[in-house]
Amino acid sequence: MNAVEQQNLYEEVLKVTTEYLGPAAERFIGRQIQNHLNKPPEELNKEDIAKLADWAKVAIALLTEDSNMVDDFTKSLLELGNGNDK
Amino acid sequence: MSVFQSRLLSLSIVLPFVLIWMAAFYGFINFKNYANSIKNSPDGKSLSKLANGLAVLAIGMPFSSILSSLVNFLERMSKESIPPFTIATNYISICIAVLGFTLIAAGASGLLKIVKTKAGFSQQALVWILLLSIGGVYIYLTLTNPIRQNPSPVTGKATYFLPDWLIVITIIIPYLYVWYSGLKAAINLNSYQKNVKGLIYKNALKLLTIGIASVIFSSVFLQFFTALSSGLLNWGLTQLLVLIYVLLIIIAAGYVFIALGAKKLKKFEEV
Repeated sequence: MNAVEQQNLYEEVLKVTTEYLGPAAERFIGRQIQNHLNKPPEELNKEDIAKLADWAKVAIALLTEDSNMVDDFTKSLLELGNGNDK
Repeated sequence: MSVFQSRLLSLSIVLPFVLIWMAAFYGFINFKNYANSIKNSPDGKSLSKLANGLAVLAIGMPFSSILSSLVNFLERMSKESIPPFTIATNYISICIAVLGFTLIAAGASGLLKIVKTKAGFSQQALVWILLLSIGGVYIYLTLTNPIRQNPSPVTGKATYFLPDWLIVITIIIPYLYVWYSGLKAAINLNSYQKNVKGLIYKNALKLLTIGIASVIFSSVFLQFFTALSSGLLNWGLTQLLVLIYVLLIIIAAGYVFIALGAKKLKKFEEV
């Protein structure tokens, strides 16, 4: 993926996360990418999405008891890695 | 009332106050920690103002109480000191309320700008209706309080020791401003909570909004209590205690919700 595609992917990931975490989304997803994928957010690529979704699912589950919401969020993230960009 | 009963009454009032101060400090400290952790973010700056406003109120509560107790003690030694001490403690309480609620209102207003919306017309109208009705009753009760300027023959104290025009300018108007700021902050926070994105984020905010609204309304009730003080001289002790404890419970509940909301929001930055 080139830099533009990586940036677009990151923005899509951020958009999905914002639906659940609002203003905290950018900080949350940035932390997940840097701490668990060991790369800056702008270098996110499609191969990272599955691992990101796994870590994000664990983290989101600590913030809500609604398991449906956690599953919906994870599913939306995984769709971005499957090439279903919006 | 015997000395023992008087001491027991004092203790039954002091202990809940201490618990409320602890809840207020806990809520403010958690909230301030959260605001500091996101201070460079768009919402962080406004949340920081909100936290600072809560800090002023949280610190102001024990400060005002301790100051009042100290003044009461000093006044017993010198009756001539009662008027200046009464005026000073009233003004200190007003300054604390004005500063605290100005910061809270500024923080709430800043948060609302983030979601690029305004509180609905019906909510804004509700603020004015509440302010006019509560304010109207407060103004009437304050300016008809028979011991507002001249001391009560029972206690030897007046509520303000000020002429009416000074009461209006330096007591009534500031408190009306405080209530307007507080009510506006409550509806702005409510609008922010409703319009902000983030299904999970909204839930955490709900606790905070409820908490701040409770603190705001309990502050209003306390002002009514002061305005009604002349009428309460004829009340029995039981009614007086019930009124005090209802106010204390409302304050405590408000700060507990603030603390719970702050803890939930803090978790967002830790996971």
